[in-house]
Amino acid sequence: MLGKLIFILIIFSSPSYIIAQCCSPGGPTVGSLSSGTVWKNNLKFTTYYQYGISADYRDGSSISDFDLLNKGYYNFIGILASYGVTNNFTLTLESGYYITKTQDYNLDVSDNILEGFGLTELTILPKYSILNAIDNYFDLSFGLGIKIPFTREQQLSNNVVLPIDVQPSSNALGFISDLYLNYPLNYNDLQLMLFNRIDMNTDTDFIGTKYTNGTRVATSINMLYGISDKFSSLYQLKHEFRAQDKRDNKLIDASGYNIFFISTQIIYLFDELIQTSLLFDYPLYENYNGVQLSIDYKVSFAMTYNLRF
Amino acid sequence: MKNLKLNTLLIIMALIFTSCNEKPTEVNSSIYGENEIEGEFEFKSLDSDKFEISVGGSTQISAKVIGTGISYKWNASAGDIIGAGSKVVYTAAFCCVGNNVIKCVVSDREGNTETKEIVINVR
Repeated sequence: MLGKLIFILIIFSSPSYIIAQCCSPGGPTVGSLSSGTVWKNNLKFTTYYQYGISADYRDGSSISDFDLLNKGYYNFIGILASYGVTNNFTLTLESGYYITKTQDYNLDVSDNILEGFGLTELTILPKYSILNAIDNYFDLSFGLGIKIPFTREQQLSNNVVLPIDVQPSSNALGFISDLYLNYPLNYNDLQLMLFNRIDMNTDTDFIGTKYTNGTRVATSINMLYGISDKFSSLYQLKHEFRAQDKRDNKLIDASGYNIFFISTQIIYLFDELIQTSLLFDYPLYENYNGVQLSIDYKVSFAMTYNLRF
Repeated sequence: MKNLKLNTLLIIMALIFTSCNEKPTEVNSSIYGENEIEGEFEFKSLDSDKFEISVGGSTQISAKVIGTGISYKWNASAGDIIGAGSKVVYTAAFCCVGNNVIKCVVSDREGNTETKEIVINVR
């Protein structure tokens, strides 16, 4: 049972990738579904839905009484496909679509909602397994990839350019590095997983200014535990650091953060080829530069299919 | 007497005809929006209730245009624009402290276009 779980490894073992800025509703785990390499001629396809909400402002790590927004929230669908070109080389494609990305303003106006929607970016991430073992599913892999926006244009709503915090895409080219370790402990159906992802963005033109999203570094340690033949649970401690954004090469106050999440996940195996997961992310500790909208929680549901050719 | 009556009638008719000068008419604002007047296209002004706001504060920005079939496009270099049409509300959080440019591009149904911008200081 454990071997199967490793093979069709939990997509949410990797940390959140939050597209959050001072007032953003935050973002989903796009790009964080990496699970190392996939065996040759195997295709692992994952689709997931995520809802996230932010309803409080924080100044540093303390709750702030600033209340420009009542709340920010999003509904997101993501996809990830990993194909094993060889037993050591996997090609991964990732993307997603915001069904809604919403800011609800605390202003005395007739329509106090701004809402974006649309595609995020396409991430192409080739990965190489530095060390792996078929018999016990040990895997140490590394990947370098690029993130390509589907458009460089900002989204409008009713002829008004939406603020950067509700734009569905960064509209910027980016570069990704990905390090993954899966270490079966061979003790009571336990596995240890470590994950690190670095996401760097180039700048984009936003209404005549040069805007650069801060570099993100996400790291997680995960423990997978088999409950029964069909059910497993995964516990994750993850950290995400984001550097401050820049506008015309000047650092933006109220951007950038350090957040520690705890995440729990229940996985159900329909059979060897299909699994479903329910995930809950909760921030244990949040520290923001300046006053920013902080994350309350995220809930996700995913389906993973494994195909063999 | 007869001439007096005729002259009076002529004077009255002259007064009636000269009072019918063509002048700009206020068109139905529910179709074209407020501040729109039928006539030649002209972006008369872009104005704000306040040119300085505190973080979390807001100001109403209005565009005054002469023309028909006017459409308004808005953007801000930083901060948030809420609403649409000839009047919008601008607000900003801590990320957007400083001088921010709010631009309005207006067009009429003939394809004429004009742009104005203002600067709002967020402190």
